[in-house]
Formats: sequence, structure tokens, C-alpha cells
Amino acid sequence: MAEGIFLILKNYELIMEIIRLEKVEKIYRSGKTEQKALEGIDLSITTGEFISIAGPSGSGKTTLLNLIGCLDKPTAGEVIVDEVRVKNLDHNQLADLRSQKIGFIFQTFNLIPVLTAYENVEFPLLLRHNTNAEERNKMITGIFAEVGLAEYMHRRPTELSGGQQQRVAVVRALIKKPKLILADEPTANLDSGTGKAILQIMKELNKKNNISFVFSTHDRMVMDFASRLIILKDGKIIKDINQDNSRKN
Amino acid sequence: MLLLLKLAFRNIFRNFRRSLLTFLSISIGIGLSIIIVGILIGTEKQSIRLLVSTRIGHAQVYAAGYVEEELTLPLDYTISGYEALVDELLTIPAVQTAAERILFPATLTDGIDELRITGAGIDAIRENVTFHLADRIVDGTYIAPGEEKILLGDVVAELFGKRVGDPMTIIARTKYGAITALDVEIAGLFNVGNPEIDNNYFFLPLDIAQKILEMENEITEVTLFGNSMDEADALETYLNGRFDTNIYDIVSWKYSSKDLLKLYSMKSKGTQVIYLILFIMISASIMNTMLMSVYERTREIGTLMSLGFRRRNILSLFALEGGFLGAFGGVIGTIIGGAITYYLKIYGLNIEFMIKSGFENFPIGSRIYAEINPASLFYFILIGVSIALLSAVYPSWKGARMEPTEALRAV
Ligand SMILES: Nc1ncnc2c1ncn2[C@@H]1O[C@H](COP(=O)(O)OP(=O)(O)OP(=O)(O)O)[C@@H](O)[C@H]1O
Ligand SMILES: [Mg+2]
Repeated sequence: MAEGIFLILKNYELIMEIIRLEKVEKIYRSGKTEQKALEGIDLSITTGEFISIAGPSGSGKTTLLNLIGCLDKPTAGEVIVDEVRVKNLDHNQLADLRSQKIGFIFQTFNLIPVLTAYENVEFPLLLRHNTNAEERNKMITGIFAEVGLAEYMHRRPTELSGGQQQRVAVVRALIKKPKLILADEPTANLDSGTGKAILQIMKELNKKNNISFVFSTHDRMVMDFASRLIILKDGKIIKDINQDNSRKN
Repeated sequence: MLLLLKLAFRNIFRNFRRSLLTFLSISIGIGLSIIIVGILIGTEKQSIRLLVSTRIGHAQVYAAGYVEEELTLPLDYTISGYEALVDELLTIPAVQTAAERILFPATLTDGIDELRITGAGIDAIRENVTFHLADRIVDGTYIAPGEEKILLGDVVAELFGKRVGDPMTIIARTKYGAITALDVEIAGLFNVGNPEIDNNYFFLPLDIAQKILEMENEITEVTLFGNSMDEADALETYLNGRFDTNIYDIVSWKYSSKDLLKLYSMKSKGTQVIYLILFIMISASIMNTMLMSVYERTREIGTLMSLGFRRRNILSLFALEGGFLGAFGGVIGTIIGGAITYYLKIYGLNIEFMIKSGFENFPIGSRIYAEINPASLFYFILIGVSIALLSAVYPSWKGARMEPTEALRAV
């Protein structure tokens, strides 16, 4: 199965821009108080990138990921996802855009507790209505085997360790072959060994499937994993470093 | 859709105790409603049937003007030459039986105590054919024309301390207003099962009543039975077409039991209040359960949204959960309520304690038999589901209109 994706994507030699942010600003308003969370953000993300967003607490990492993930809209500026301007989309269109193009991984795993690991992974496929049961079964069992979770497939999230849950969450984000997977502090709730294992899986999948990953973190070790490191401070990008010399532009 | 159903169904078992409580409140509410309605309809039908079978028949023929004043049992509106009328009535195919009567206000005394009571002069034979009065004699014998004897309710006799064969005196006013009295003997004691008759009526032969009331060849009413209670309206219409309405007032049991029916419609207002309380109870418990679910599962709502769930999907998910609870509760409540009501239909509910506490004259026996209509049971399930769905709408809407980012921030 994974080979399948790999082959399809191999034909896509071009590096395409999937996300562009232009002069993005985000201000939170609650009553009379205003909180500027992001300011003057210009950013471009292309296929196959593995990006880490770092910065002190309150610097705007989560806010930025939410905007990229179409969970929220900017106060000013443009967010363009795969050539679609997010500004003009309504709630339903945003939901559909997320369903089609973006996968999410959360710090707290956020698996649906009433569904088994298998069903959690099946969920995004069911929302997209473009697979039949047999295809789904093949895809899901294949990918579970790949991440070493085959025997845990039919367990509920509460019966899995944090690391196992996060691996299921990674698989859930990946299964629908999105353009981009966003992860807000995916390793913060895991010990460093498990966190590293998760990152390794993410990196492998990134390479194999040419899916871009963007994750935020506080952790130095995690930042080093990324091929591109973006550092935020007070809602602005203060550094954007290419860390992967082997990688061509 | 299948996905939504699966999620909703499993979520019900998530907080099992809370769902169980909600489910119980729905099923108890629905079950109780069914039982209450069953008993009420049963009571109403039973008491009307009793009134029909012991007092008013399917239809009555009076002299024109009588029904306006029937409560005072007037002797001014009488039917004379009634033999021909009764004969003609009995030739009508839709009329099964008919019996003529004089009802008059009287006082019954043994020289020491006296009792205001309704006298009923009856044609002994036709009364028995029509109301089977002879079968209701519990002591002594039935009466025959020409005898100066009466039939008294067993309860009234006990009240007087009288037995079969004892003398009594009837005091009444003649048709012309003069006071008259007649010494009679108690021929028998009856119990027809309708307290209104048992406690307030005595029977005497029609010819004796005519004599003391100076109503030779006159009566106040003919009571008749047709084929069924349902056909009484048609019978009434037919008779009003056939007979001169300037001479006769002809009414069906529906008219004659109007006071009783009015009583029931008042009571049914009372039941509506009970309903309302039950429904509010059900609704509040569902709303509470669903609101708690929505708050507890806020982050999950955010997750579902991030996966591409639309607002409408979130709304449907929670509404479905409420609907499931309503459907389970409604079905189980209906089964249990229906079973209890069915039991009460077959075996009845003993209400002697109620009769002894102020409902002595309520026209119903000591047992109430509930009524149950299978079609209406389905309707109760429907009510359960719709209340549940409606009550779940607000909490579901609260969940659905959350912003994904806000929902995801929740702990
Ligand atoms: N919903 C909100 N309402 C008001 N202010 C908010 C909201 N969300 C974030 N903020 C503010 O916006 C700024 C950026 O917050 P954000 O959550 O993006 O930071 P972060 O870099 O993710 O921090 P952390 O590392 O602690 O997760 C902060 O000052 C925060 O207080
Ligand atoms: Mg954050």
C-alpha cells in the first residue's frame, strides 16, 4: 500500500506550494481586551517539507498552526491552501477542505474514545466517501503493520499507551493522503524515547509519501529533527532556517 | 450516516449511569402516562356504560320540553297514550327493547327517619327485558303490576335498618301538586352496581305510581336500546325524523350523559397538566444529559471538526444520541406501561377505598378496568422520541456552533 502511494507521488517530481501566508495577522478579541497573537507573517510551505515551529510559550505557534490548518481565519492577510483562498470559505467549505487536504496530530492524541484504533483510522476515509470497505481494510491493516501496531488494531484508545495512541493518531492523519499534516507539540505528552520514535515514524512517512509535516515544539531535540526550523517570537517569524543540507530546494 | 449512528449508539453507553437515569426517567414518564390514560379512558367508558345499562339506555323519548327541566324530575311534561308509542317503537328494526317509566321526586320514611329519593314507576316486565332488573335482586322478590310493593337498594335498606317484608311509606306530590302518601311493603332489595341507582332510586309498579301521582295513562319517559352505543346517534336522528319533535324530546345517551362527559373533560384538563409535568421531566432530564455530554466532550467536538465533520454532523450526532435515549426509553416505557395497563384491563383495579372516601355516587363499580388501544401505544413511542429529539436540539446546537479552535483548547 505504502509503495502505492510512493509510486503515485513519484510521478509528482515538481515541488509545489501547498500553503502560502501573506501578511497574516491574528488578533484575539474578548470584550475590550485585544491580544495580538500573530503579526506580519509571510510564509510558504511546499510539498514534502518537514518543518518545526519553535518559540517561547505564547509566541503564536498554536495560532499559526490553526490558521494553516483552516481551523480558524486570520484577522488580516491571506491564507492560501493549495491555491484556495481561505478567506472566502464558509464553515462547511473549511470543514471539507480540512477533510481533503489536512491531517492533524494533537498533543493530547485526541482519538475518539468510543472507536477502536482501526475505526479511528477509518474515520477520515469514511468522511471522504471515496473508498469501499475492502479498499479501506487493505489500506488500514497495511499501515498498522507498517507502524508496528497490527496487534493493537482492535483496541479502544483507553487500552493503548500514550505512544501507541499517538502512533494511531499519526496513522489517522496520514491515511487519507493529505497534502499536509499539522502537529501541535506532538511529543509534549510523551517521554523523550517515545517522542523520538514518533518523530522517526513521521519523518519516514514524510519521505515515503511526500506529505509535508509541520509541527510545533519546545524541545531542542525535536527541533533538530526538522529540515526547516521556523522560530516565532511575539507573533513574528524571527528565524527561518534550512537545516537539511542534503535536501535540494 | 452509518458512521453517525455508530458513534451516537456507542456514546450512549459511555456514561452508562447517566444514560440509565435518563432512560429510566423517559420510560417511567411514558409508562405512567400510558397507565394514567388507560385508567382514565377505562373509567370514563365504564361509568358511561354503567349509566347506559342501568339508567338511560341508548336513547330516551320524553315529552317535548322535559329535557330542559329534567333535573327536577317534572311531572308537567308527560306522554299520554304511551302504549301505542311503545308498540310503534318496538316495530322499528333498529330498536331492540323499550321500557316506559315515571320518575318522580319522593321521600321515603319509616316514621322515624326519612330519605329524599327518586321514585321510578316501572312496567315490571319491560323494565326487566330492558335493564334486567329482576336479575339484580339480591334479596326478596321482584315486583308485579298492581302490588303496593317497592324494590329498594340494599345499601338504602341497610341504612334504614329494613329487611324484605318490612313496611315503608312513600310521600310524594301528585302531578297537580297535592301531597300524597302510600304505605308499601319492601318486596326485594337490588344492587345494580351503579351507586347513583343503588343509593338514590326505588322502584314500584307503574300502575301504582300512576295512581298515587294522578297520572292515569301517563308516563314521563320511554327508555330504549338499539343495536349498539355507537349507533345511538343514528337512532336518535331516525326517531326525530319519524316522530313529531313538537310532541317529543328524543335524545341519545350522549345527551343524557353530558354531565358525566363534562366531568371527564374537566378531569382530562387535569391529566393534561400531569402530562405536561411528565414531559417537562423527560425533557429536562434529556437536556441535562445532553448538555453535560456536550461540555464533557468539547475537545472531542473540536477533534471531529478538525477531521472534517461539518457543524450539521455534530448537531446530528448529539440529536441522534438524544433520539436513541428517547427511543429506548419510549419503547421500554411503552412495553411496561402497556403491560400494566393490559393487566388492569383484564383484572381491574380495586377502588373500594376511593368509593368509601367521598366518591359514593360516582357511577362506577368497585373495580376500574383500564382501556388500552394498541395504536395509541405506537403514538407514545413517537412522543418519547420527539420529546427527546426536541430536547436534544438545544444542547446539540450548542455543541455544533462551537469554533473548532475553541473546542480544541478545552481540557
Ligand atoms: N482564544 C484566545 N483568546 C485570546 N487570546 C488567545 C487565544 N488563543 C491564544 N491567545 C493568545 O495569543 C497568543 C499566542 O498564543 P498561542 O496559543 O498561539 O501560543 P503558543 O506559542 O502556542 O504557546 P504555547 O507554547 O504555550 O502553546 C498568546 O498570548 C495567547 O495568550
Ligand atoms: Mg500552543
